[in-house]
Amino acid sequence: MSDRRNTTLIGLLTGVSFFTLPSLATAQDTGFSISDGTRLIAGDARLAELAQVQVARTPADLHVTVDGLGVSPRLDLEVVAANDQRVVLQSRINYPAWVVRGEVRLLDQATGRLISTAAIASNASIALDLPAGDLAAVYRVYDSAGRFDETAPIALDRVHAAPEEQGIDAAARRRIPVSGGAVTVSGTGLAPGAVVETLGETLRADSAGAFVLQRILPPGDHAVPVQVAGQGVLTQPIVTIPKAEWFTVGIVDLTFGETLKGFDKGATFTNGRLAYYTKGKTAGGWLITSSADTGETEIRDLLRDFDRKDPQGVLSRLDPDMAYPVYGDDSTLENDAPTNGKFYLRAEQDGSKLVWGNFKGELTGAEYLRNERTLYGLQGVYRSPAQTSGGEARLAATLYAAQPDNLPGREFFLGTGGSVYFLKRQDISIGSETLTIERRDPVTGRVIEQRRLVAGRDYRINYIQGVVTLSAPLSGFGSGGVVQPEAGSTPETRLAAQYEYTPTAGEVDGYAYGGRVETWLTDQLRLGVTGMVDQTDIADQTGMGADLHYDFGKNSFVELEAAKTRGPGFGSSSSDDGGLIVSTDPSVSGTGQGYRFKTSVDLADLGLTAKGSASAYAERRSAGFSTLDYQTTADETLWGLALDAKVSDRVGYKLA
Amino acid sequence: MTDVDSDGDGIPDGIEGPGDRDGDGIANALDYDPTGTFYCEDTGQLRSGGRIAVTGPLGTQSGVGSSNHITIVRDGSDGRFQFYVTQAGTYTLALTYPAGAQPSTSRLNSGALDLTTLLPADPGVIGAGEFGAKGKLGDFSAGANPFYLTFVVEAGDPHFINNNIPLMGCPSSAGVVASKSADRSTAVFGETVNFTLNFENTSALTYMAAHVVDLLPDGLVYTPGSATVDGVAQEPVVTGKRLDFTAVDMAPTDHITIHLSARVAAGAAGALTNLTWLEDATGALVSNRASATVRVEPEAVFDCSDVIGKVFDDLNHNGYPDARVGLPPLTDDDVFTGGKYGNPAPKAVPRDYEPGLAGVRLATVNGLLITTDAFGRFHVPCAALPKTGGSNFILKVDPRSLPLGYQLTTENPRVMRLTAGKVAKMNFGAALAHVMDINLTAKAFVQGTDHPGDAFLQAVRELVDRIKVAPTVLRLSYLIGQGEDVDLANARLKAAETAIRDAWRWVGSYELGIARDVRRVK
Repeated sequence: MSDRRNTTLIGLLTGVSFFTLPSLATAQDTGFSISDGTRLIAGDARLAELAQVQVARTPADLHVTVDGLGVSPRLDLEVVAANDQRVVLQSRINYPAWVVRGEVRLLDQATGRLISTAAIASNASIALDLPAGDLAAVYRVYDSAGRFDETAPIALDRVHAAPEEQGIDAAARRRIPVSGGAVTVSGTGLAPGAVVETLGETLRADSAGAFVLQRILPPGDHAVPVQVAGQGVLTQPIVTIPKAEWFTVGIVDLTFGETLKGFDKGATFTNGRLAYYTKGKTAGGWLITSSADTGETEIRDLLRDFDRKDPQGVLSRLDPDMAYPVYGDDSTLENDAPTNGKFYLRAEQDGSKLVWGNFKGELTGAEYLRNERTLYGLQGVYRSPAQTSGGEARLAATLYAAQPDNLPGREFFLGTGGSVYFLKRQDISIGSETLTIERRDPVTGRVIEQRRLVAGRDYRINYIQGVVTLSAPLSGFGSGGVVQPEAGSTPETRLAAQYEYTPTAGEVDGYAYGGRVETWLTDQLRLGVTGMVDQTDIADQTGMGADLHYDFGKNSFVELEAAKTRGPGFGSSSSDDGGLIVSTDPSVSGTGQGYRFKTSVDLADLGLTAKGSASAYAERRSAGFSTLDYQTTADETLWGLALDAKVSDRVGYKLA
Repeated sequence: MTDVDSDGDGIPDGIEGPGDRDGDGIANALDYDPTGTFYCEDTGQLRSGGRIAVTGPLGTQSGVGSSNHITIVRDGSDGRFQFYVTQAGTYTLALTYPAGAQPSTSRLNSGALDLTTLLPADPGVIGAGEFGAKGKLGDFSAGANPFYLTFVVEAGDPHFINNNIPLMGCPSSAGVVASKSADRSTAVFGETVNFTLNFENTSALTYMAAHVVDLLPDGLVYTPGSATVDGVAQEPVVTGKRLDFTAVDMAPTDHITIHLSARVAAGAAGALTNLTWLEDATGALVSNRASATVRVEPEAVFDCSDVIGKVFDDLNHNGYPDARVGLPPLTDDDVFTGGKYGNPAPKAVPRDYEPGLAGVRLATVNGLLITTDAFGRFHVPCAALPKTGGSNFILKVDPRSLPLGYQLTTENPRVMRLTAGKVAKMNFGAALAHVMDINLTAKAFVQGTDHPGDAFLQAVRELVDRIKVAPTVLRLSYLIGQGEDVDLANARLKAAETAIRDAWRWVGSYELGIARDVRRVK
């Protein structure tokens, strides 16, 4: 094929020449030139030369890529420098076109109380003076409709920074609908450290004289000038990002054969395979991903058992790191259509989505009834376009019906002061883990605070060996030692790991269903209803619950939750030494109820001049109440009160 | 002759007499003899949960009770049934099998029985009786237990007993407990799996000449010479997948432990379940069937086919990644661009005549997205598990992930037939193919507007005519002069593109790529 192209190129070169176009050749001052790079075809020869010189002057090898389907938003906050009093933070975001403002929110790590906010522009850096205390920062960006994305809390006591384009996505909450195209500008052959301006950013080439920058831009035409200090604008391509585009690859594979020799001579076979993968977006804002693969089989069986599980399951369980081949390149792999069946479909628009395939359960919001398992089946998420002033959808609903392929594992590790934790199981399903740091009351077992960890930044995991390595040591106690800094008992800190693993023998039967509907009746009041059913071999584990959340000020809220569970319960295991010795906690079976009340009041929200906060909780759980977090063997009633007030600069009260 | 019926089986003691028919030490008159039982054909155990119904000339009686001259004394729910009729005629037995049990497929009923043929025996004994009151037939072999579902009854016919109904699918409650374990739960092709078989006689009986049977699944092959019985090497008789060990007498509390090894054969996949049990001399099952399951994983080296390749800048449009002639080999650590040991990195030397294209995305039909590295290289580990005759694999470059103005010079998508255990290479070439540079200045347009001038439109028509067949990319540049308005320049550029596309619409034979840019002239 390429040979044919070469001959046509030569034909083009010989067939078209300056002299065969007299009408144009005489028009010297036409204001345009058409050339094939070496030879003028029409127009003004001087212009072509001028342009040639322009091109020749650019030593850099510049590439601009426009990719409407490879959009992956990134949001991160980097700690560039830090000491006890002061910290320099750098915003990293590759979709600034959607963002109207951003802020860094400083939180008290122990209570999650908002201490202060500071505005930060996209991809800018700010220096902040830190108040005393154990602080974390959350980076939040708002779009014009008031929706916001924010990162998981980022510890401020250690520096972590990566060059542009090598950062990770630390977003823990994503509500801004980012669609459009990823425009990537890359160049090589610049002077090391050369200052490049493009896509509205200024950056420096690396020591090899290369740079790369990616930004997500909305659909439409965009000029992308690339300017290098001292060399002027090298190029200014105008790129068009289409509103709708599709990428499809498919195959129809038929094999007919006859055995010519041997035992089953004369036997014929007709095998076939139909498979496709497509990804595209519509002008209406839908992003569609779909794939199907019948597998290679007899033609008459091609479309049979289309919903059956596991034709490619063995492939997905293979870990390339376990195999002998070493490939010697740094290419990356991503499964865009993960499914245990033959079919995959994902349709998303503005936070709502419909998925058939593998997905992560997203039952969150209630504290008792949560489900973050990785499942195979159908999932629907709806978020109404109408929003509260806080950027939450007025009505949100999540439903799933799934056939679990794996078994859930749940483990708790008391912080050892080290950063390596060994999971009980090996061969963890890739990407199925959810790691949370929990602070628990050691006496009552009440979960005080949970913080979800971000893969890559907070931890690394070896799926085959089942080893979690945190990026910072985790201590089991808020601060060790004899002196108790807080009244009452010091909370213990645990690492909670939830993951899926494939049982080595036998199959997992049963189905899992669940759903949650939550609505913000006013901007302050949220009501939610959750229900879930997990069928297991023994019996169904069912859970139903309702919850209410009411905000009355920046840091003040009331939460009520009631839940009821029935069934054989969830098992879990725990370890005090990082996973060397593991004890299995038996599951609690039966029927039980749990009620929870929690409030936190900032004195400022009550109009008081004194600084501080008061909080209270009360919980009652009956024996047999079993959720992923709680196993209640006997009736429990807990309550607590805490007051932390600072009446003047010198006098403060603390009560707990 | 007396009418006393001590055991309540409906047969007066005087008829039953003092003998001991089944040899269990209980006189017949005191030994309860039901009309029949439900029993497990593998073990002889009576099975509860079944039901009978009897249909006669006048109608049906189901459950305990009397109607239509039929009286059911026991309905079979405890494993034994008993009925009698008081009128001549043909009576049919309808069976409801216990939950979980199935009718026997190897023991079939013998059709109709004319009870008169049983005479002179009274009671007429059809099958074996329950041994004592142990809930088990004394002899549960097929030959000793014919059974009938239709009975022709006349006046003067004898009593009849032990019409035993065979069942399959009973949970074993045999006297010998078998268990089996494998030393690993997963295995790959060629690996040896070691099985341990344990048998323990928990009953009070001695099983004479019993032998152990091991049934290997497809995909597991017995390793000759690997079997030991209680530590002593013994070679089983191998018949296909079935291994038969030498018969032994198994007395109460006896143990047998057998170790054997099996290899995973080529083509095995999924869960392989190995069964084992103990058979007595007649071939009847005298233990439960123990199983051990091993999951066979695909083996990367033998079962997978990997795909490697490169997406390269095909400068000479020949479709092959050409290397520069005479270069030193590429085993030079110095090209690591990040610097080492605190020293700045030496300047990277371009090694390839046709360098790779970074960040290009390739897709498989399963939605696997591969992004090339900085040198354009990629790999798809275990891209497929090809069949014996090979399987096709398709890979497609997403052209939108190529730099602006690039077109593929090789086929896209590409299909290759993969062979298990072999690596395949798929290179994709892309290049700024047949670039036509079109440079524009203000003079090409009607002054003050974005309308292209007539000379340009004429040139466009001629250009389109010449490039309509050979795939070409147009690079449309606007050379902006001092003091010119950038917005107007952009509008003019767009108008020029529109003019070209209008001219192209009905003439061109392929999708014309047009890259636009604005350049500043110094």
